[in-house]
Amino acid sequence: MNKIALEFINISKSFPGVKALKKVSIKIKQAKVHAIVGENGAGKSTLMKIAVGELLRDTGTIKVFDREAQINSPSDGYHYGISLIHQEFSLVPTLDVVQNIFLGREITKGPLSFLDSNQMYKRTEEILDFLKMFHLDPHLKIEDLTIAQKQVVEIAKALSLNSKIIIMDEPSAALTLEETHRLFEVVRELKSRGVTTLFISHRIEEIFEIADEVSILRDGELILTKQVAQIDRKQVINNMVGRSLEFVFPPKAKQKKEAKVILEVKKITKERQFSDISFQLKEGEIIGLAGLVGSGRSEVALSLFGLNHLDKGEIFLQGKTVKINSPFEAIRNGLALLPEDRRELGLVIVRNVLENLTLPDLYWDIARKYFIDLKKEISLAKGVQKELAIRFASLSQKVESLSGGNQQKVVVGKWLLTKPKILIMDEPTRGIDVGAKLEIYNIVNTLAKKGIGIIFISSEFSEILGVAHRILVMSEGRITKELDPKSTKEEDILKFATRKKVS
Amino acid sequence: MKNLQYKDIIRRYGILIGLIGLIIAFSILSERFFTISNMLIVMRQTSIVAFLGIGMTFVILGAGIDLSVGSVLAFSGAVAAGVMQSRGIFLGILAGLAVGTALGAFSGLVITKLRIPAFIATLAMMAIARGGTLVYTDGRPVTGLPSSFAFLGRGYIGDIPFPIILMLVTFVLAYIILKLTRFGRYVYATGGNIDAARASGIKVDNIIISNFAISGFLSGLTGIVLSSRLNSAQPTAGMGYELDAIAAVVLGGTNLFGGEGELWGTLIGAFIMGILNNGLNMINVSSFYQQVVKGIVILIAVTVAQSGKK
Repeated sequence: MNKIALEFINISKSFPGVKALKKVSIKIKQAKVHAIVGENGAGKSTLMKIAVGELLRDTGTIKVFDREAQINSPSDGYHYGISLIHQEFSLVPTLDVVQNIFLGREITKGPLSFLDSNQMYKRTEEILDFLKMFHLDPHLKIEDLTIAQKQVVEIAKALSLNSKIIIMDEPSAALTLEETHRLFEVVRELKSRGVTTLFISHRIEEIFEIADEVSILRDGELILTKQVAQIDRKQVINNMVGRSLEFVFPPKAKQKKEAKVILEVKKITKERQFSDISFQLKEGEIIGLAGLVGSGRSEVALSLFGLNHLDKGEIFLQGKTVKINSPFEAIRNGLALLPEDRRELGLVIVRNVLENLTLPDLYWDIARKYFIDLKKEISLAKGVQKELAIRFASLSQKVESLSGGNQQKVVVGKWLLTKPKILIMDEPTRGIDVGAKLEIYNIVNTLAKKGIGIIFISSEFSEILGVAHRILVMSEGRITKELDPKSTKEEDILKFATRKKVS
Repeated sequence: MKNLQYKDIIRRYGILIGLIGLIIAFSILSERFFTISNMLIVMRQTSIVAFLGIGMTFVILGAGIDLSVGSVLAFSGAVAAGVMQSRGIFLGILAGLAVGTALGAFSGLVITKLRIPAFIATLAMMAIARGGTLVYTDGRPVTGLPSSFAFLGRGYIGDIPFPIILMLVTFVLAYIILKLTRFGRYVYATGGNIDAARASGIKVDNIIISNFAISGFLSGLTGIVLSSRLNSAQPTAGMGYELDAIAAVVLGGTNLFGGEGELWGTLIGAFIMGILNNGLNMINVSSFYQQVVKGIVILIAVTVAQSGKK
């Protein structure tokens, strides 16, 4: 029989105005992978933070290996052998891997307690050796690492603390498919050593790949805990959203036969990023640009939008050759970009919904002659709010406080106001919940019906198949294959997305 | 819920409550403090910090900092005075404003085109403009200014000192620019997230250069008003004023990392600085201790303001 490693008993937590958790009780068995799933705002992250003491529960008990644990402050989790690996990393960017792993508990030697770098380096090597599927030089600074590597450093830190219970909050959100698989191998290895893993994820497929048990949270309540073998994908989704949501992609917008080519890209090249990319986009067409992270697809998107200068190649819009050297020129030419990282490039997170929605359009319409037409601004913002069903309390609410899905819709909305002819969407559904994803797909179709040409970039191949009229697969900076979604499976895309040489 | 409301009030009006508290405290400690004539004196003193603070608000909202305002003020004042001696008041004022604006814009250019952090670029400008002032004036005050020039710093319209009116006009214009124009929106957006602003089609370099030009322009204006008040341009004018200006902005609740803040906060911040100077004099606190008290008040005010944030 498996021991219970971690037990939540009647945990409740309120924030001003919201009950985040309502009497949640879960038993987590030792040496198992236990997935916690739920929509955004379901209370997953809150529960995990309570487990390590980053948040204080209002009521309830936490037991670790059958003994009541006093977890009341951020360092308490460590004392009980629980580590939380955050979505946002808690690493110091300017320090190297070793320094980060031993931050705050450096190994010292001698009477003056000098740092024992050799010892720390050796310990780090041992741990990294265990994680050997990820290549990592312990002397690299954190700021020079990829997201996957940073995650490995966080895991290494947890291991160096001899954690018995490791909680991973959406570890795969920023990983490529391949990296995710490697991460799962690490999780399996940990499991074989008796480490218990709690795994929070949005990606339902992953639960079935890695988890032994799953707990579903909705609106702060535990809906069920089950063996993964006893539940299927549909049940998971239905329980997450609380309504029967048949997860089928909405029917694709029909393409007109006589649709004109609005964008043509000829052999564009950016050294060390991508080369010889050529394709055509017609009005109302949705091109799926598939590829793993690092395949160069996002860089192509940034180049089309003037944020990344091309070394070679030509871009034609409506048959005319154009040079796009800045987003300003891109917008003037009818382009819009939904960036991969909406918090970095898409939104001014500290400002309100209204200002974010109208920002790109001020110059072109709302404030053509220096002064802002406030009436027009508000009516346009309200119009787009209605069109996209963006949910917020008021236009003066900060975007910071919106859910991921609604933030993404604000970014879509701000571009719709500029009336683009071409919309580039880079990972538009990353980090948003199932319901919001479906809404984004519907929006994509509606826009295509209006004649907007869409470049839909994603590393979720099921989504590319469900959304695009035509698929271009990229690998190592080149287009390796064009596929017709009607006769393509996910595995086919993966095959070309991991291909080393051009076919 | 009650707690939330308290925090909300502190966050929004904390600085205003602080200002009223200071006024009440000084009124109790000195009967000469809360009189119309003294309040007008306070406001006239405040106008200097307010001009600089308003310019600084643009810069800080755009996620910059301008350490050069004190030196630029001195240089502009000296040039204005110098030109005025031979070519008259109008051209003198124009020259002073032009010098201030140009120096500010130059800092902005260095920051955006050479990618030097604002702190360093304006620190360098602080030295350059101060040195330039000393070279230009040969280290001596520029005197012999036309007598009607005195109106700017010492004149009255009705019973109200002219600098106060100038301050209010400047405030209203700056407020309109920040709140009602495209440029104002761009300032907030650029300071809030420069990458997202650029990706929204904003020419962010131009916004940053403009912010520093505005700060330079208002530094020039301050230099001219000060020269008028003292009837001479002092080469050492404005030493340390950058700190008062930054303090006013910070007291006013503007986020030092940019993107968030209100102009009226800066005005109240400037008043607090002015009232501290005046009130501490009234109750005979030695000027040595005044510095200490000012620093402590800033710490307390910012601490209280932050307690309302989370």
